[in-house]
Amino acid sequence: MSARSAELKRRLLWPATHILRGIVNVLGRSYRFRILHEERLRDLLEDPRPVVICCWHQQVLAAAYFLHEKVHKQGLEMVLMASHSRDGELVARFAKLLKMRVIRGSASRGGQGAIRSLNRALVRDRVSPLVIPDGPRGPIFECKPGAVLLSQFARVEILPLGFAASRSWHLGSWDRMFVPKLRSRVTLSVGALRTVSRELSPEERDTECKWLEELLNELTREAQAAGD
Amino acid sequence: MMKTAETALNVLAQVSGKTVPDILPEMHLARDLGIDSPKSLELLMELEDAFEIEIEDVDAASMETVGDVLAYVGQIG
Repeated sequence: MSARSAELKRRLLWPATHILRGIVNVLGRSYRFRILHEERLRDLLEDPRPVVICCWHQQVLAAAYFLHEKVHKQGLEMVLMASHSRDGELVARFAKLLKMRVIRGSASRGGQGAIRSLNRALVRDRVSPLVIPDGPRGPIFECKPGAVLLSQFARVEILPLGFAASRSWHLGSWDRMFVPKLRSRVTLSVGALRTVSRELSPEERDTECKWLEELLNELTREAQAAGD
Repeated sequence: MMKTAETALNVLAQVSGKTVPDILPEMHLARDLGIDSPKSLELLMELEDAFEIEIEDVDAASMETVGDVLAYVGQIG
C-alpha cells in the first residue's frame, strides 16, 4: 500500500467511525430485546462486580450494542479488546466514542500482552472485559483459553451469553457475523455465572474451555429457538 | 537472589508439569518443557502474580530458555 493510500484510509477512519455509530444507533434503537434467564443479569447488576463476559464472534455486534446500553450504562464498567489492524482501529475509535475502555491486541498478534493487560484491568480497575473465545479469526465456535485463563488468574466469574435475531443480515466473514435488521427482535440467553478454580491443571483448563464452548452453543440455540 | 530463582523454578515446574530438579537453565521452554502458546501465557501470568510485576511484551518475547527466565527475574528481584 502506498503512503498516500494509507494516509487516505487513515483520514477516512474518522468519518467511518461516526457513520458506523449513526447506523448502530438507528438499528439498535429499533431492536426489541428479549432476555432469557434475565434474573442472572439482574443479580449481577444489583451487586456489580467484575466478570469475564463471553459470546461468540458471530454475535459481537448485537452483543456490543446490548452490553453498552443495558450493562455498561447500568453500572458494570466494561473494557473491550481491539486488534492492531485497521478494523481494530475502527473498533477502538468506535468504543471510545461510546466512552468504553479499549485494550489493543488480539490472540494472534500481541495477544499475550493484551490478555495480561485485561487481567490487570480486571484486578486493579475492577472493569469487566468482553472476551470473544473464537476471535479474532476462528475457527468458528471453538473456544481458545483466554477467557478461562482470565477467570482463573483474576479470580472472577465467567458470564456466558448467546444472542440470536428474528431477522438479520449475515456477513461473508469467517464467522458469518450477523447484523440484526431494523425493528427485529434480538433474543439474549444469559448463562449462569461460573467460577473457575485458581488451581487448574492444563487438562482441567481444557475441560473448562470445552464447557464454555458447549454452553455458548447451547445458549445460542436457546436464543434462536425462543426467537423463532 | 536464591529465593527469586527458587520461586521462578517453582512456577516453571507448575506450568510445565516437571519437577524442579528436572528443570535446567539451558532447557528451551517450548522444545524441552512443552510450554506452548497457552502455557507461555500461563507462565507469564504466574510470574507476574508471584513477583507482583508487569512483564513487557518485548521482555516476554525474549524469554526462550529457562536461563532467560531466571536472568529476567534475577534483574527485577
